[in-house]
Amino acid sequence: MEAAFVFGHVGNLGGALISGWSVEEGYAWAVGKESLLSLPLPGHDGGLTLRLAVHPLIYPGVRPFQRLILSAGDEEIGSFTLTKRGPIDVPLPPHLTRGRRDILLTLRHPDAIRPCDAGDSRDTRELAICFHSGGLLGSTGPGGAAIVSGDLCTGIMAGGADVASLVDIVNKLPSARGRVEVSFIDTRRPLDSGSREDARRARFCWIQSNMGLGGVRDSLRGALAPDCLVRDFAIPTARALWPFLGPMPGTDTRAIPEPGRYAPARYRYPDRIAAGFAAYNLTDDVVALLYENAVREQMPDLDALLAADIAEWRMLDQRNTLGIGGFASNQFTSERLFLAPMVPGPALLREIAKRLVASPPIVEALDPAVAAVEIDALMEGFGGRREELPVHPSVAAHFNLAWWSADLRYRWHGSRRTGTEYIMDYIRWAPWRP
Amino acid sequence: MTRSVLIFANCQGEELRTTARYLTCLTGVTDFKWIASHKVTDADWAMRYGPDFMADVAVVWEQVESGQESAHRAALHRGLPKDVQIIRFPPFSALCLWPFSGNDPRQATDPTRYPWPDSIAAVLATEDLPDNAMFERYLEITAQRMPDLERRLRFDLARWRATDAIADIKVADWVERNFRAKRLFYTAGHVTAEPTRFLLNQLLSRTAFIDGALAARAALEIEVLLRYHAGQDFECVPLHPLVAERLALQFHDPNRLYRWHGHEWTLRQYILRYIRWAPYLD
Repeated sequence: MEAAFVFGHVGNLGGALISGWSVEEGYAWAVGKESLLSLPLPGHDGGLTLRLAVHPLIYPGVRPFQRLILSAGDEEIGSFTLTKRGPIDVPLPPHLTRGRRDILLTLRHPDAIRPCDAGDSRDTRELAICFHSGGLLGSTGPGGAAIVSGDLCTGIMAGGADVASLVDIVNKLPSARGRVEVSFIDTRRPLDSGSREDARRARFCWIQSNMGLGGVRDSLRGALAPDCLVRDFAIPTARALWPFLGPMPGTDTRAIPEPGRYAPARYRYPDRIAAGFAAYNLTDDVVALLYENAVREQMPDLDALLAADIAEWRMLDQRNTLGIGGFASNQFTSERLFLAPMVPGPALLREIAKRLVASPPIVEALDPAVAAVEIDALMEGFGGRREELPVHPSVAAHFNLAWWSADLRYRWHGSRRTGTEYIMDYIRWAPWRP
Repeated sequence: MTRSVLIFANCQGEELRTTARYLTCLTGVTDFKWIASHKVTDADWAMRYGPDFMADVAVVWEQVESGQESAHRAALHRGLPKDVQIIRFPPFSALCLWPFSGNDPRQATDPTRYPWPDSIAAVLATEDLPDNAMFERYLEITAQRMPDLERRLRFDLARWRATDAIADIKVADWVERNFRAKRLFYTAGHVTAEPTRFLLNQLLSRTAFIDGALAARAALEIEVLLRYHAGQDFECVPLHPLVAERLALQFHDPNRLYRWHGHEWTLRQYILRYIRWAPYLD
């Protein structure tokens, strides 16, 4: 959009509404049979279309429509019969706009009506059409950015929910518009016909190897065209942020599905120590203190846990085309890589996204340096999936986690709790709602 | 057959339903259904909300609206079983949180990206300014063009009282008493957990087949469910500092982050993204 106009007192067309207007705070009514608008122009030679968001005054059975005829000088440039709110597009003849800074438009609206004559209003103004906003569209298309002609690089990213986020990131990069288009395939459920069609057309396919069903991944490989470039990647998980573990049946006997409310359980990441205090009928502050003592006493060798995680990340790197384990090892203390044992944080997703767009064949369609800057901008303030587990102060201190602070609040779907609030809710097995 | 409570309301009804469905004391007592009054179609009444859907409805929590009865509201009333209890409640809304109920020409082709239009930001959309200068310009223009917010608040109050007048549950006094001290609204029509807590307790205590003891148990569970809940925070428009000042909003924190889908942004980050119509992640 080359120019944006907003009608009304708060808008930017105050001096342009020459005559035939009744201006309100956020809009302007065209009144009488004719209005004059001195529309600002950019002054270049390119083609322009005026888009107006308008709302006709309609009285069913009395005045079912409003006509609007626009002209510039003697030349009629648009004619509409309006029955509901919506945008109208008026191509402006180039010979009337070329090199000019404004154009005088005459708007005729012969069906203006006084509300007091048509309904129970006391408004005596002769109203026709309410003008809300407008804009000038150039020749680059409605979104304002140039569409690149040529070969569209279409591909697939297949895996779980985090891969859906990666697809969203790539598709929303401004430089990818018209150049790269990625579809998501969920490998946690069987392929449908749409996914098979996407697979058949894909020039590349990235498959998350550590999520989903092996049979579905095999079916997907079978559905791809022979010349499709296939690569694997894994999204690391972490168990070093003790005491929360991934799904481990039996760790907490309360963790059972509650149909219609919680699946697989009210709290899906079991905490063995917290579960041990479930039956304590003591005040919250006493239980919290007991929990803290128990955590300190039972603290495992955290370095060994992290070493096991790093060993697993290295193994994943060896098995997959895209390696992320080195990054995870190096950044573990400085950036929040994990929101929960199985949930990657934004920093990890951002790095994976950057490495994906810097890989063939996307790298042939996008400048990876530009894409990296765009990824940083797109992900500013991004929090990732709304499933965060607290990090215990002793664990944060042990690893010297730079991003951690004692007053952090952790998101769990619709709720935000401090670490202590989360632990007390876990011990009490408190209900929560999404 | 379990008796159902049918909620006929905008998205605030979904909040009521979701909270109510997590009340364990009502398990087996009642189920909660919701018809989205702002999305329901003519076809829905024939296909989804016919006699089978309505058969177990014992109570309707009906969100009122001022003006003439809409065709969908009439369809609801036609389809209800006889002798159903109807409890009417008002919607929560606030138009005084300027400037996010204006106009933006970009919405004509992209209505969902930033659905709370800001007229001032819209007119800056085609300016070529660096971030700091752009935000300064925004603050400057908004300060110049800020309308009489007290007048807007009086309009809001008048609207709240108008819908109270046709409802069984009154909210205007509660909103007026609380909206300066606590954040109640994220947008003109999206609410924090506070209004849901207030309304759900009121509705349950008036529902005929829920006795006082059960309503009291439900109130305790609601307290637990909502004490850390953020409400409808998936789209939060930021609070302009001048709006906070002029309306004396005590909860305003200039460093606060506002959730926008998958992000949390400052006022400045939100405004710059809005002006540039920047994409974001869910």
